[in-house]
Amino acid sequence: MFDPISPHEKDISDLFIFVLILGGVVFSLVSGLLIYALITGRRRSRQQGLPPQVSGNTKLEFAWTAAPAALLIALFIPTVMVMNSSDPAKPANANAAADVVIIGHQWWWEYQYPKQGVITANELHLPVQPADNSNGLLIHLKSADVQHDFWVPALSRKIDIYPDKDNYLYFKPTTVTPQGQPLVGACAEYCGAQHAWMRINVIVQSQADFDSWIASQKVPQAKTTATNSAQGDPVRGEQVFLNNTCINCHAISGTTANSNIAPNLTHLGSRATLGTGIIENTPPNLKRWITDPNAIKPGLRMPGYSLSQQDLNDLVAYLEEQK
Amino acid sequence: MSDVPLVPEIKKPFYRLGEKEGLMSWVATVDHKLLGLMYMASAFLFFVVGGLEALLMRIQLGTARNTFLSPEIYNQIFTMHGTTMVFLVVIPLMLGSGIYLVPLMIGARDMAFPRLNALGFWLLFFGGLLLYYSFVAGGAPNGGWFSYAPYSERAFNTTYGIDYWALGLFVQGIGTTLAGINFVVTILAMRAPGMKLTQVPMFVWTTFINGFLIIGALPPLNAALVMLLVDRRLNGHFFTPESGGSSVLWQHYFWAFGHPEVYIMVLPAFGMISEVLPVFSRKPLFGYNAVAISTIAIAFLSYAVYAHHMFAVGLGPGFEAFFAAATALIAVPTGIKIFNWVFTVWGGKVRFTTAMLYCISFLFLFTIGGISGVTFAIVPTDWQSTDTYYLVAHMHYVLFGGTFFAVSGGIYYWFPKATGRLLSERHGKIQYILTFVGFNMTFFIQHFLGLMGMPRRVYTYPDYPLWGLFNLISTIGAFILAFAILYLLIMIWWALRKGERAGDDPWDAFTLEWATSSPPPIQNFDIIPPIRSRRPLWDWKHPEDPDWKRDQSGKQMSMQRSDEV
Repeated sequence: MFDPISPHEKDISDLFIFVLILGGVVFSLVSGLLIYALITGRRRSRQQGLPPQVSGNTKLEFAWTAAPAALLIALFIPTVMVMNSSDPAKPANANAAADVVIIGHQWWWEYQYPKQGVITANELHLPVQPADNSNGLLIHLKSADVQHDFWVPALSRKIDIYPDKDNYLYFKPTTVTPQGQPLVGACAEYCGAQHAWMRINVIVQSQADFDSWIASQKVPQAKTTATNSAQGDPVRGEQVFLNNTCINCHAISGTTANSNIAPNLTHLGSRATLGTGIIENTPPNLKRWITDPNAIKPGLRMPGYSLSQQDLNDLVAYLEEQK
Repeated sequence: MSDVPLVPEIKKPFYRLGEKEGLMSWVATVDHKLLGLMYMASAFLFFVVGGLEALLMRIQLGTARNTFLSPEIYNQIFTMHGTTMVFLVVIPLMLGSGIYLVPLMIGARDMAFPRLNALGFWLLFFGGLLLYYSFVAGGAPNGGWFSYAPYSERAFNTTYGIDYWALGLFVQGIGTTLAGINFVVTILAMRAPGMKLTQVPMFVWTTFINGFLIIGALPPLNAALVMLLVDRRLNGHFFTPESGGSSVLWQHYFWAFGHPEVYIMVLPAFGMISEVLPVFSRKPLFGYNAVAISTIAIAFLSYAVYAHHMFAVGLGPGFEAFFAAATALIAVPTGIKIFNWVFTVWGGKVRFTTAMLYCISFLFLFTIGGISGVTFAIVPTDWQSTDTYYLVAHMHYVLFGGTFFAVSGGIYYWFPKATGRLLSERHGKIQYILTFVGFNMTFFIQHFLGLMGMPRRVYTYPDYPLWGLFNLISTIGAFILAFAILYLLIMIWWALRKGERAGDDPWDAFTLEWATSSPPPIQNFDIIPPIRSRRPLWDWKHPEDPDWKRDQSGKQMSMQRSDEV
């Protein structure tokens, strides 16, 4: 269940299956007794006279008080064990020690890697963790506005995200995700109009791949080379980006655009989806998005831009080129 | 059938009690029977509205990436669906059935405070109208039925929807509290001579405990609603993090109300089950004391478990372990009830009336809801299942498969008492099958959707394998269910005009309300049979084999009792 890829989630998944099996046994017992009572009761209804007017049995009452109580103790012990194993205690200096900072926004995700000095959005890259006794990556979660909830079923528990409460969690993915098949999750606490499209994609990479991804993120600006102008000119596109109000909200490292109101667009071309999971990241989709994002994701704060065809081609060429 | 004389003719229609006629007889009434029926009618009115909202949601979710409803509209609709069903349907159903039945069951003339009773109803009704006025006042509330801060604050939510939500619930909350007080006083002070508190029918007993629950649980909600209004309209800072308030504080207030509320919505349903199962098994309720004591236990525990709604907040292992243990404890009294009901049927002569079918289905469906509920007590499994469609399925198994199935059974059972006419058994069974199939088709599959990763409160979802198919099955089920409800309403309308005459005691029942005429006269009773046991009507009909000379194994005790003359 939940296809766990971390020991934390494996423990939760095993406990869940155990609880469901136990529940199945209890349901079978209750429904078995009830069905038997109904069948015999139906047969008896054709007979004369009234049934014995039994109104209780003290021994039975004790039995079905004690049995669930014993069952609950049997459940409570693994509960506390799995609580500790799936969500290990955090160190006192968690704020400074965090490997990744996850910030929920209406309706996108900001991912910061403070140790590497990298900020990205909507695709969480994690290095695969060794299958030892370590706790894994320490994650710090907070919100920029309302309450959200970070939930990737295969990875770990879900946890609420607050503007006024810092939450910490360990992620310990021990399997690399296949190319093009990230772990998927979603915001699990209702947060407004586009709660549905606050999807999560997690890419677990080998340490080497992760390092090279970090390195590429740190290269401030990808090759801005002029190409066939019919496809759009990335050099002009950069100017279109900087001369419009894009920079009021978005950042691209290596340029003067450094606002974090909206997703960081550095290396946007490397991401699989636009709009936090709502459409595939392709040049035609990106053009539709820039022209009228509210038609794709209603309620969004981003305004539409009526750029000339030339400007639009250049801008998209610029953004998509940054892989 | 029985040796109680049947009354062949209905002298007055059930809706014309007292001197006034027409609309005025409803508006001006303080009679508990009319008020009880008005609660039920108002609940069904809002049930139809809330049900239509549910259908809109299910149409939108029928396929992936559907554009039938915009996200803004969808979010208003799901908020109104939840709020309506909890506050304007289930609570009024519980209160209304209690207000109608409790005085009849305890042999009283009326509730203890008849005018307070009328005030409570009108507050509830107008609270509902105030809530729905938001649709024409610039947009319905869109914060979900628990309206978490800070999304509900003005910084993120600028329309008047949340204000109407808070005001509407505040008004109806006062009405509900008044009804709670009325129940407690009525049951303590108005019982017929000779009826001990340990002899009242189980429905009266659960309503009694429910009264205490209401008195304790509604005030925290009302306080929090006022604080939210102060925040939104007077620039207060209770729940606004950006100016020093606390967003988690709202959750504590809300669930301090919200969990007892769950039991407010189900305890009287437990009572109905405890009335219907014995009558159609021809036996007394098994383990009356155990069922009564377990009701008290549930009420006490319900105040100590609210934070299991908050396991995803990150409040720390010590806090979570305490609430997990307390929550798990509730399974003990609930289990006691289930087993006692099973053993009420055990060894009986079972009559499969529609009322009985609903109550038997309740036992199955509520057990499923109870077992899936354990998943939310076990902290790590809650971390996966909370806020998903698994939770949506669980809560509908408890509230629809539980409460509403019990209420449906209650409607088939007590409709003849209230109106003097029977609902058709033949159509009733068709209606029951439609409800049962529609309900399970709609909600069982949602367990799987939740475990596959579908969060609740999403207006659409990506087209992952099976997600569309499962949602479509759920949507089809919802339409079957809606048809079943329509069927029931048509049956009620038809039965009111042409239904078969019921007589006073069509089920050969055990409790006092069946000792008076159907519908009962304005004064309820002309004569009240002597009350020496929990089944006064049984004693009256079987003077050779009365309950009060019987031990719990069903045998007549040989010794003479002091009260036996």
